[in-house]
Parts: sequence; structure tokens; C-alpha cells
Amino acid sequence: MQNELTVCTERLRNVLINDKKDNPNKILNVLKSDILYVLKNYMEISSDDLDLNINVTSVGTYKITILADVTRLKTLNCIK
Amino acid sequence: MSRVIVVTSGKGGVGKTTLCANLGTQLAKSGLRVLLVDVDLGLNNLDVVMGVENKIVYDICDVVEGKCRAKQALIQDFFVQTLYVLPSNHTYTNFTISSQEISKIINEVEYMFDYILIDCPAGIDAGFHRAVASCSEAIVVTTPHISSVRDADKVIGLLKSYNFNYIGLIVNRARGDLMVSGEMINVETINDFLQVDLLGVVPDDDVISTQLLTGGGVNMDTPAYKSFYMIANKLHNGVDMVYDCTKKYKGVFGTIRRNLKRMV
Repeated sequence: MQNELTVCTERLRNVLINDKKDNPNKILNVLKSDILYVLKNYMEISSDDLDLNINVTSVGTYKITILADVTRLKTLNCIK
Repeated sequence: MSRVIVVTSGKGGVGKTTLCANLGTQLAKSGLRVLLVDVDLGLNNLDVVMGVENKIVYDICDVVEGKCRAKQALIQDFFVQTLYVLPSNHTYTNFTISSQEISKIINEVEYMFDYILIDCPAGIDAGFHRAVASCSEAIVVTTPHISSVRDADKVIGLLKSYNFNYIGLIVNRARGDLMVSGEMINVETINDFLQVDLLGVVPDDDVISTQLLTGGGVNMDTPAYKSFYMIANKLHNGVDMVYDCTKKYKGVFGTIRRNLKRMV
């Protein structure tokens, strides 16, 4: 019986993880645009320089990776 | 200021309406003024579960159409004086209600109640969004089955986009004997997957089916009654106690009870 329960729990985990895999595609572009908006306040960056990935881990959590190629940071007057 | 709570699940038949009726009854029994609103247009069941189907004069559609005021459509419960029901329409029409109209009705009667429980229709289409839009808190009902937990997960994802103050989980139809023997997913596993506050556990109890014959809330000293009492207590007073449906099936006597149940 415990074996059946383990199989059932694994099935549930797989179903939930697969469902979660669909979600990132829906928000990826919007999130990228928002992150770009924030980053542009601090550095010179274009949309092509930013690489954003959202992956689902084996335990069902999301792992967000942001990779950005930036040539110059903006010098802010308020920072001393 | 009343607490407006939507009772939802995604999957149909998990016990939203029954939970709504019993939770409302428990809250009202402690002296709180409670309103149960059925927003499942054309498929109204809350009035039947509460046993007030013969008292309906006006329904929610009549209120929206302006045939009556919201107060006139409310039906008082037979047994608990502080419990009211706002029924949905019982005939199928093309008439639709917007979420703004639901909000308007709730705003109109809000000052009269401490709790407003909204019985959400199954599914995640327009009816779901209509029910959810006017609420600030949500209760998600699931059963210990893969399909139901999966739908609950999707619904929680949708609810997160509405910025709710509170999202609670209720595991309905829990079989303690099967959970102890490893034949049913246990409550802790479900809660680990869904990652929301566990508001309560309702055991699979024959008394709920019996209750549906006559209508009204469960009012006997049974496991289901205790679990509904604990849910109401946690929701209102914050007493963090959840019904343990596995307790009586553990230990030597529990094993005997489990085996006897299997034989019968």
C-alpha cells in the first residue's frame, strides 16, 4: 500500500510540475519588460542584452535566472 | 466591516456548497451575522442544501434587474436566526451578471453582516472571476485526489493574481483509515504541494449525506460537526487547531477499528 501511495504522490508531483511549466511562457515577456525598465534606471541596457529564464526545479519551485550584458553603469548623483 | 470570503475549488463536486452551508451555520451559531451568497447562475444548489428552496421569493437576478432591493431577496434560515441566504436564479436564462453588479449587491448588504460567504461555481471561467472579484479572502476546497489537488493548485495560482488578504485550504472527504494505511494521499502532503494555510480538514462522514436529505447545517455531535466547528473557530478566533481524522485509526485499537471497517 505504501508503494501505491508513493506512486500516487509522484504522479501528483509530476502533474503539478508539468502544469507549472506552462506558466513562465505567459509572463516571460511582461516580466522581461518590467525588469528592463528597472535596470535602465541604473545602466545602459537594451532588450537584446537581457536574457531572462524561468525554470521549474524537480521539487516544483521556480528558478529565475537573469543574465545581462552591460557596458556602462549610470553615475547617479545621489550615490557618494 | 464584514469579511467577504469566496469558497472555491476549481473542480466540481468537492463539497464547496456543503462547506459553505456548514461553515456559515457554525459561524452564525456563535452569534455572528452571516450571509451565504450563491453566484452559480442557473445551477443554484445552496438554497436546497440549506433547505430554504420553498421560501424563495426573489433571487440574485431580480436584485440586479431592479425588481427588488438586495435586503428583500435575503432568506432567513429556519434554525439559526442570524444566518441568511441570497439564492441564485433557479431557471436557465441568458441573463448574465457582471462582477461589478455582484460587488454592488455585497456593498449594499455588507453593513448587516459579519461574514459574507460566496459559493463559487465550479470551473475557472467567467463565473469564477465574477465570484472572486468582490472578495478579499478565499477558501479553497479540495479532496485527497490527484485531479482535485491539481485543480486547486491552478485556482490558487489564479487567486494569487487577485491580491487576496488570506487564502486558506480545506481538505474535504478525508478518510483517516485510508491515510493511516497509506491508501490515500495524506493532508500534510497536499499542504506541502499547495503551500497555503491549512484552514481545516473535513472527514468523510455519512452524516453529511443525511443532512442533505433535510437541508440545513450538520447539528449533531459527529466528526464532521467537530471539524466544521474547528474551521469556524480558526477562521474567526484564529485558534490554530485542525481536525485530525487519522487519530482514531492509530495504535492498537486504531488498527482493530481499521480492519473492522475494511471487513464491513
